[in-house]
Amino acid sequence: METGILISRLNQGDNEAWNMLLKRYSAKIYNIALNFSGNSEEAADITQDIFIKVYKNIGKFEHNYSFTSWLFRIAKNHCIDHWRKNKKHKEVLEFNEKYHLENESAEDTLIKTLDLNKLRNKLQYLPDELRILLIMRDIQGYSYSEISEHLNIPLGTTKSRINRARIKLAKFFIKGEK
Amino acid sequence: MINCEKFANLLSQYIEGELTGEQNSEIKTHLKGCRNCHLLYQSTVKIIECLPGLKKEIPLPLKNRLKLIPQPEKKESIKPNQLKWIAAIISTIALLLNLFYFTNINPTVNKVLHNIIFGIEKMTVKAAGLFEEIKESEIFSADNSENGSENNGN
Repeated sequence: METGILISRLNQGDNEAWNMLLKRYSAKIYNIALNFSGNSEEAADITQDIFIKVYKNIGKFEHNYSFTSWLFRIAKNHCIDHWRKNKKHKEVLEFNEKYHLENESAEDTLIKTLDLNKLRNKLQYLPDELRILLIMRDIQGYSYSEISEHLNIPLGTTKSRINRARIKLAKFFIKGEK
Repeated sequence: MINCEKFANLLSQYIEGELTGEQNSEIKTHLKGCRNCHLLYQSTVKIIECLPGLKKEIPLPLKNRLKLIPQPEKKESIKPNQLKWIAAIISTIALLLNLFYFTNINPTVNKVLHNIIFGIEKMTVKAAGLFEEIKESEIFSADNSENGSENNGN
């Protein structure tokens, strides 16, 4: 079913349309929330809050706009708001300050095997704007142009931010455990 | 020749094969001579390979929670918070009515309230009188019918 028709049916209170919308988008939003927060319980709450927002504001959605873009912007803003309200970001800032003070020379700790939990944990230390882009590109598999369109960021900026995010994340591993 | 900063700027494009042949060979030359950049390149490639592994299935309890989102909206029941407000408004109105009725803060309102109460009392008395009349007429008709049957018997 076309997204436009789905939204119209949703506006008429069609429960089946809501279930179809969830089937289409809930896993995507959950994965953004999970990798943004690094915690499955928090991710479940964030995902629920995002869909409550979507449900409450679906009437305000303009049909000439892309629904995916609208949804991803809600998700992005909610994830960042949640992160900022949460104490975690303070710890991360402290970590980043400490990190920048360290000796710049790289240790010979090339990643041979990567523990996925460790990788998800390190992801939390990336700045919000870089993290969301990296999640969409390298975890969700969106193209640069899709990310640029959905998050309303110029294509060049999207590419350079993703490159910066990858380098930062790689350096977290090269420079050793925190 | 490219330096480490330029290499870092082109890293993703190099990995994703988006560079020209000339840029590619420049990077390869740089990587051969720079241990730090080589390490960064290998780590970045490994991370890009591993990141899709962080994708997870949505948990079933969350799926069910999301399905229930439209339901509370359908129920238009009064929320506990709204009940508090309704109780507060009713109490305030009752308090104000008492105040205006028993004191003479606002003579006009006081007069109107007394007139209303007087009207209600009048109506109550009238209704009671009417009720009594109906009752009496029923007793009277019952007495008459009893007397009639006694006379017929005699």
